[in-house]
Amino acid sequence: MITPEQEQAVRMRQEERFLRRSSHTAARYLREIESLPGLPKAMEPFLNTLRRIYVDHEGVAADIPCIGIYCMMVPQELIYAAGAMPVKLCSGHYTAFQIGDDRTPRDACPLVKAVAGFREMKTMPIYEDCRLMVVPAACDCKKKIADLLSRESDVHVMNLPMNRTDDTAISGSVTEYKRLIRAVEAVTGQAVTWKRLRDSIWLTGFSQREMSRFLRFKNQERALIRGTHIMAMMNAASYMPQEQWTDCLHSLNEELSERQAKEEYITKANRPRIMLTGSPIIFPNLKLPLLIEQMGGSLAADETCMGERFLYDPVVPTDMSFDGLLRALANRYIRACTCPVFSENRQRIDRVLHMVHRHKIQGVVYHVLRGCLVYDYEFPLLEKALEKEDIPVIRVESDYNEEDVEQIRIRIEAFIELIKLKDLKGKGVGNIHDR
Amino acid sequence: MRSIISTILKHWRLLLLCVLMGLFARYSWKFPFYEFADDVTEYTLGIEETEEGELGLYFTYNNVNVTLVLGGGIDQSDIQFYGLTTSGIAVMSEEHMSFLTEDYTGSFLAVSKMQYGDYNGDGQRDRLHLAARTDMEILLGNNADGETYSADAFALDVVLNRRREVQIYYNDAPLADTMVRVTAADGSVTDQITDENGVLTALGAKDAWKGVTVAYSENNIDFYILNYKAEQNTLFTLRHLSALIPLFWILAVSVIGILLCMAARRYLEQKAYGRDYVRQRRCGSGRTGNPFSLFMFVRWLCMITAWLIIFYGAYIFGVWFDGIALPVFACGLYNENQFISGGCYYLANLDLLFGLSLGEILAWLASMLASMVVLGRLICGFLCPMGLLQDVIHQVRLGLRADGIAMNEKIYDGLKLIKWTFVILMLSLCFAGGKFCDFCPVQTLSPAFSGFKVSLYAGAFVMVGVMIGSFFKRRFWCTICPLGFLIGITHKISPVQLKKNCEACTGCGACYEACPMGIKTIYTEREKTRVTDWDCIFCEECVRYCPEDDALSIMVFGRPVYVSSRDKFMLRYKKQKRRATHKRSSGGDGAVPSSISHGNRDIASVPHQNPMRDIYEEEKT
Repeated sequence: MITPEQEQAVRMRQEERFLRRSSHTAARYLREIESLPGLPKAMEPFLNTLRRIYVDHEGVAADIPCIGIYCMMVPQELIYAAGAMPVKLCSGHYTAFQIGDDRTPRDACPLVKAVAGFREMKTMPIYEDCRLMVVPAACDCKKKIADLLSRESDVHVMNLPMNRTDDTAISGSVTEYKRLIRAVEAVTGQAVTWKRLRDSIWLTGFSQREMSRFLRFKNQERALIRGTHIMAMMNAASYMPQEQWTDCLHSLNEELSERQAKEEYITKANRPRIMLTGSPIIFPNLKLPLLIEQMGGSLAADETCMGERFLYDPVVPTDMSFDGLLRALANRYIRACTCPVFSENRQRIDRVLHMVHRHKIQGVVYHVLRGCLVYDYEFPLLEKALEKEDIPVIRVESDYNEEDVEQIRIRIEAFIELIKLKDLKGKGVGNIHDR
Repeated sequence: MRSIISTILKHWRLLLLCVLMGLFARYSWKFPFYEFADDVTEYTLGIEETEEGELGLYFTYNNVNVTLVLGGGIDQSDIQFYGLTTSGIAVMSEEHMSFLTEDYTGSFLAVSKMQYGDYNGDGQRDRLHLAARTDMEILLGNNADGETYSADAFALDVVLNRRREVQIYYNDAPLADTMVRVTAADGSVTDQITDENGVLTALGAKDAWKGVTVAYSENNIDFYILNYKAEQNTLFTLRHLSALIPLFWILAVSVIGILLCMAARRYLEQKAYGRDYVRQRRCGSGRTGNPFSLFMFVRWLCMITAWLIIFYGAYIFGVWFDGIALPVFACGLYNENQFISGGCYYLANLDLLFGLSLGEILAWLASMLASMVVLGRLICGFLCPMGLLQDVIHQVRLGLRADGIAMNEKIYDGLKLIKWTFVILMLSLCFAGGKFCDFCPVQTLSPAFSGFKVSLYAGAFVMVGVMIGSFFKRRFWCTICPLGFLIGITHKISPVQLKKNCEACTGCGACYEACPMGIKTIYTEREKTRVTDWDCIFCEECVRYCPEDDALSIMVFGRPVYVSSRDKFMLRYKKQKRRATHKRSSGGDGAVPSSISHGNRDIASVPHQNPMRDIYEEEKT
């Protein structure tokens, strides 16, 4: 017979073990990121944020209430306007994934499993601090995790229109945003006035201005900053107040422009320039970018939702009325979104091709999380499009564990060698993938 | 067939509206909005004798007071005064002078008794036949010709023909290839030779407005001297301003309409969301923070210049090219002060077009087609006066911080149907016994600004609708403009093109959102580079709002003129001074009653368990 005290003791031990292990993983990945040569000094605040959240298990350093958001379709401007801070709760944690494995179906994606794991353990401050969680009804896993989360915390499910080109998608989204505004206002007690909304759009807009300046530094043959560092930086944006993040990005931009002036490139010109796209890559699950750069590739661009895409598309208010601003948000978060949950997603292929041309990409790594069907659907389309451009693409399926690291390492290494060989011979080599 | 029926069933309300519109247009003159008395009753005639100056007589205008000035001591009793009436030439007497009756058409001739003097300076005594003629603005619009006064009244006749050439008649026939002496208003004397039609090529409308004296003698003894003056409809006079009265009325009705719409909207919003909601959501400033754009600046400059030229061109240049036409809505018939006439008149009155001579038809057709091919709907964005009016109304809305209407495909589809109705009405109403000009909203604008009193019928009501519409929806008229639709047909071969780089396009839909014409293909297109739609008016809003480098560009002859740029776009986002922080105020502006808030958990009470706080440092070493 197990007494409640015993049960609690077991639970305590379990929690302690969980925290230790999760800190351990996060710290290890942070160390790996730091050990990559060419880390700009201005990266420190971003890494510190990740360290604080995942190693020290602290909450988000904000004096305003936190609202958890998932995916990139929740307009963070609305949440800022309501006087709260959006915290992106999509998780890439291995330890939480193992816990969540028991609560979710076998074929559910690891991201959702990790979220479920954190929810189960109730030890992660960023999850516990959230007064409300906004879950967009994106892919199947997100839809169901909303239900799972709602058992223990306040959850607001946001509908997404699937027929994006239709005008009803935008008017529907505006209605949806108004619902969201009411839900957020009820939490913060602060009404989303026109002025607050405009200000918060301008706030995000300014960070996107910094971001577009930052992206200009990436358009060069030789890198000024490593792709892995960029991914870490973009991950940190989820846990930093927008303004603070922008300031840090600004100092990073300054450092990079200094590097550019001194021509302190961190990679050689002959490094294969690789682009990463596909399922989200969330700290600490940065094994793929790390492997690419450790194996001698240069991660020149990424098209993932926790990467550049997160803050790439700006809000374009063409009509300054309140509804006009909401429509502008809907355009940015629904129409410009390249997430494959939307039925028709030709723009993602175009976006990848555009990045391939702009960053002179030589090979594309397509990351698919196990169970992430929507991204898997789009692989053949992208493969076909890239075949026309004679760009090799490799599909890497992985999970939130480190068992497959060596296997992926070998494949990435071979892929990089292939690009080098192709570059050397100056002739095309057919696409390779694991099918 | 089934689809047509289903369309009809779906849009039956709109179709009913279109049919009503057709009926309204057909009987447009039965709905008078403002009718001018189109006669000379407001004018007064006077005679003034003066001893000063040279021998001679001439007319002067002071607003509506026309004075015949007799210089050099000519006595009033020596004057024979003629006036042109609808029933022929009438001799004017004292009682006619004080007020003119309706049957006067606006042309007056004063002939003096024979005077003696040495005109040509040869020392001999010449017989001087002096006369003064004037044509009022009213007549100029109708038919001023040299055969108005027969040679019985005065042998020499001068007339401002088609508002651009001064023609000389002698004994009821054009005085061809003859030398005449011309004294301009400033006193300069020149000898000029008329051409084969009796036209003095060196003179223009401007000279006729100032007054010109023409002297001719067959035998060097009898000198016929005629002072001719055409009334210039000077701007900002009482007469000019009174032509604007109906426009002021239209404006007043539109303002009332707009206010009513705003009040209704506000009432409905307050009913749906509550008073606080409406107050808090009220737009604070309509400005989008757009950075300066040279293209935009040039566009506004073009529109204002075109407005001046199209409406007042004849004032400014004294020339009127009435043979050629520009495909804009600008009242070719009613506004006589245009530089180039609007092609809309003959398009709306095709039966009259067929009545013209072949040369005139060809000139009209050629100028229309040429400007259609070369400019296309660039005319709408850069030249059309109606476009400027709508853009100004739009700016007023932004200034007033009023909310516009969110457009969508459904509304645009409906507008398309109305546009088609307009096209059909414009092209066919003249054959069906109607008069499209009376239904056309532009009729209220162009003549009024130029000082022509044109009575308004159904068109004024349409204009009220257009004004209200363009207040809430930018360039509302352009979306239903029949002429604009027709000139957009040539966009495929027009040198101005809108190009899209589909690869660079992220599909954010900002261009579609910004487009005043509701062109969706520019956003949905993912294959072709040419996205110039029939409806595109090249207002460059899409390019200005496009946040992607090179995604959209306006090409002229294949050369990029205006290209979208992310850096330029991002200029609107400046660093915010004030941080949007959480303000926990109760009751004040922007606060939600605390009873609604729930699920509050104090952040501080959540334990931050970090048993492994320093694991990172350990591992590092």
